[in-house]
Amino acid sequence: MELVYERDLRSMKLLVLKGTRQDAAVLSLAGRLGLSRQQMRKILIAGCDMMTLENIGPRLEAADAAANGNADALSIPHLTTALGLLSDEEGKAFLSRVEAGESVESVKKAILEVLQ
Amino acid sequence: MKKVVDVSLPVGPVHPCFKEPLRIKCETAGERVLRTEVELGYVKKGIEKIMVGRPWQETMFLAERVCGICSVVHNTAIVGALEAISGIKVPRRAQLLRVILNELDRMQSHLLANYSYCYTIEHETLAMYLLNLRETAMDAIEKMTGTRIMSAYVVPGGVREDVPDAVLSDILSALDKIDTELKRYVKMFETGKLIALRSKGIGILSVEDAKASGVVGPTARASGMECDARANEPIYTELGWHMITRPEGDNFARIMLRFDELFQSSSIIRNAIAKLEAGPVRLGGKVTAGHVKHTIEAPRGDLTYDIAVDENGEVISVAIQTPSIMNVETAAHVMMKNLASAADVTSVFISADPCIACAER
Repeated sequence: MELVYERDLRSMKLLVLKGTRQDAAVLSLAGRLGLSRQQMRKILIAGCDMMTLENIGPRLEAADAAANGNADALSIPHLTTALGLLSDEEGKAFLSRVEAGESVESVKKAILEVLQ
Repeated sequence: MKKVVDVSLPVGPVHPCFKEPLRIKCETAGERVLRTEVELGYVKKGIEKIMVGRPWQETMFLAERVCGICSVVHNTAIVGALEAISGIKVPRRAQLLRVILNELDRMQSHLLANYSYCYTIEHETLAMYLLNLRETAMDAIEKMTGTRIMSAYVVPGGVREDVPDAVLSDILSALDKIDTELKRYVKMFETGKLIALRSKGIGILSVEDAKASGVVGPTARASGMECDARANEPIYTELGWHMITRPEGDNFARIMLRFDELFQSSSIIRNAIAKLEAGPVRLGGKVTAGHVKHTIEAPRGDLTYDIAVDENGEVISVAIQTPSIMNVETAAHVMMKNLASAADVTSVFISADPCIACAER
């Protein structure tokens, strides 16, 4: 249903992401996932609300502190708890694929397909 | 475009309980709130971008304009950052005067936050009592600096001007009034049965969620998290500051913690006034080139200025991390998630003391 009072927030979300600290956080997450800044911005604008984008720095810092091992390699805490781009169940499913012997690179590719 | 939530209950941007405009879009199932999305952009000022390329003398005044409620702390934070870059020393009397002003600012901000909460849960009598008491703190700030807000009192190397003894004794009288009246209001809040119904066990933020979302200030401390930037400032420990926390993490804890901190601020100001000795209040100094990340404790939590200036004192880049960014986000996404009643959306939100002007900078 199209609501007349719903606005297209994409340009304002982009403004939020252009902030100094937000931009540094976007670049760090893009580096983890092997994406360009623009690709990362597009994913974040589509999947997060404005307040999450404002708070992206502290949330990713908390995820950095919580991540270890395979979860860190796949950036699971960053994409689930921190940003909500993946559900907890999806995160666990990707993690179990690596634990079952699949390579980190191929699972990362599958994560990017879901995100995009 | 992908929707973050399927909106069934839009709250705001203009709402009687909100001091500033923002829109909370709630997805509900019956009375239960499943998830929420926040829409900003109604008061975006772009102060960070305006500061770039300007001399520090101008940015000092711009920083105060980030927020009308806690303008003193933005002034203190940016000046503290410039002093850290340039190695400028602050005389002892000026340090104590800064503490007095910042704690008065914390008191008026906490009183306003608790007023807003009481107003939101429809306890207008207590709300008006608290708002009236806030005026006593505002009057003390006016007597000390000459204006209620945006006083530009803190300058690199000290404070703008000294405070006469008569004003210090007026501040002590104001604190006596606040302490006496506040005890009665705290008792009203603590024992109010209807207040408990709207506050206890509502909007719970666990310590794990608090850590994951980066929440700061009284909102974090009311969830049992020990985080307060004043712990890194020896002068506060000398004046009797200690960490106050509560374990519950609900609306009630957040409001009670602010009441507890009001009494602590009053005690810190009394100790600072007792330790004031005659001496200079401004030594001066030259702002030099450098980059620093400076954090101080604002009324709502950690306030960080990440600022770089060149050899002429012009700002190259600045990022202002206000506490409301973390607190508003956590209120909307963690405290309101799976909230049992949509009627509690506003009270949970206001209990986190949101400042939209700070969040939008």
